[in-house]
Amino acid sequence: VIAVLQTSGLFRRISSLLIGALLALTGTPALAGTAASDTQASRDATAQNVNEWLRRMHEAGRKRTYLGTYVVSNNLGISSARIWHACDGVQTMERVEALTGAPRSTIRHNDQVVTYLADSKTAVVEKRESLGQFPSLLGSAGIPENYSAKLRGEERVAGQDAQRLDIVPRDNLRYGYRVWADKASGLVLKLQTVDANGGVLEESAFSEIQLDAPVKMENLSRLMRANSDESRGIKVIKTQAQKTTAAAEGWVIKNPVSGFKAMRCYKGLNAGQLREPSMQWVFSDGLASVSIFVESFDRSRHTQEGGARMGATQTWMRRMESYWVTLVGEVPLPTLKAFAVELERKH
Amino acid sequence: MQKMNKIAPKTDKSPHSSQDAEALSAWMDGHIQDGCNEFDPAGADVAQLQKWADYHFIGEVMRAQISDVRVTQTTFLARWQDERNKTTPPTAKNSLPQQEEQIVSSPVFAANSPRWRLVAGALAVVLMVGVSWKLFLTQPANQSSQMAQSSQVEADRNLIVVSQQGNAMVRDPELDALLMRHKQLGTSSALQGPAGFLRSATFATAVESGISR
Repeated sequence: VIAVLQTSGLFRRISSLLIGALLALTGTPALAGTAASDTQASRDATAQNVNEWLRRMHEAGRKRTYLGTYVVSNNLGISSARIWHACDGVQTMERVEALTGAPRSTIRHNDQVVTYLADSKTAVVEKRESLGQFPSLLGSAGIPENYSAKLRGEERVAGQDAQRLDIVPRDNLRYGYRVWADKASGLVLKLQTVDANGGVLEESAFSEIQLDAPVKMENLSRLMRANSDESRGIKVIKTQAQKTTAAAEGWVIKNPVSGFKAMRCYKGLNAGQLREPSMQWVFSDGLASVSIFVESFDRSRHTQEGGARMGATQTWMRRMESYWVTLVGEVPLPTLKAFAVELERKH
Repeated sequence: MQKMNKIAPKTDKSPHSSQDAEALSAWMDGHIQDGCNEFDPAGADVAQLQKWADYHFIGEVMRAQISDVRVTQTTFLARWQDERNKTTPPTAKNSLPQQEEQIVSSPVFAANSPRWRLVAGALAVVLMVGVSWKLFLTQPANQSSQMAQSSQVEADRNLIVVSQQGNAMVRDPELDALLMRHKQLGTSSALQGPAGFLRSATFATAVESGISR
């Protein structure tokens, strides 16, 4: 019988199945190596995928003018704003007129931002360093190591044909994102931040958009200057943040929180209002960021440890010896707690 | 022009054909004028009558008279059944649906029959055993769930009260100031360029809305 089986294809088939099962059970290194290289290759493909998608979305904002209504909703409510966006391939300008809440107008010219508050005739002038760091983030932050991307087909958003891309976290230390990008240009039309169960924590989307609208940069520039013109009786507040390093301030992270890299550190923050935290240390995994604020403990003000969630943004506060630490980030609460545990005073 | 004799029972064509259905639909919509008298509901078979009733129902729904439709359909079916009962001998094998025949032929027991009491008793015993077994299996899980709930309550006590009204959500203005700092200097995201700025500028915190008032 064995001889018959040996000569037939059945024997070969059964033996190959048995050997395959045995190798799978024992985890043969050769096969494991093959699997690892496959995984690496797959990850490389995904890496290119995520970064290419992000690059395309970013480029769309630099090449297309548009005019539209933008709506943000989360567990705290709904806000909307009218958006004017102008660009010339290098420079980008944006005007955001709030339609809900107190009247305010925010105008951005690359990384310079002026927020004009009509009720108090106040303008806050600031430089947002994060707005100018896009290309370097793709290379340095390790986004593909933290997220994978899956294309989920096409839908219509704000009257435009859009492609839905799911950016899925590789662990539970970060949230996922669903992005609807204009099929033709790649412009982000809708963005959702989702938790591990797929629950939407926050959604921002255009309710209507007019692509290639005649929005002129010079008009926005004129308005930006007018909104921060002290001669018109406007109180101008210029925020200043002095750069420093955490080590120079006497703080370290004992063990890095997986996927997050230290980006920059500030001290002597001055917004012209409220108190001034002594240090702000910023971490990022490429898409999500965490700020660690450290200040001296004040018994009269720092009365309650704990946290709160505002949309996709979590906060966590705790006392640490003679310091009060506040962590803020678009990450799950356990991630903030991990940062709090790893933070240590050196001197 | 299609003729209604296509759906009349006396024709050779199958009553289930799509041509029949189309012709009936067209006739009911008033698109077929000729031959409409040839369709006789009293002489039609079950499938044709059901189609006729369905098309009535669809038509009425499309005219948004749903409540009337139900009455109409029920009335029609009741009338049709009465007509059938009158014309068909009780013992004759007719075209009633198979399910109806089964219901008629199945044995009937009184509610207080010993057979029912026996079945009810057996079901009660099975139910008790099942519930006991489930409780026995899930007791540790419940304990851990209670512990998780109590720790959640403990955590909730630490939560800062957040208003759900309007944009001024965080009652602690100092925390709100830190949120603004995070947004201005702390956000470091590849999504910041295309969407993050719009998001943060649209959804301002209480501090931003009322700064230096």
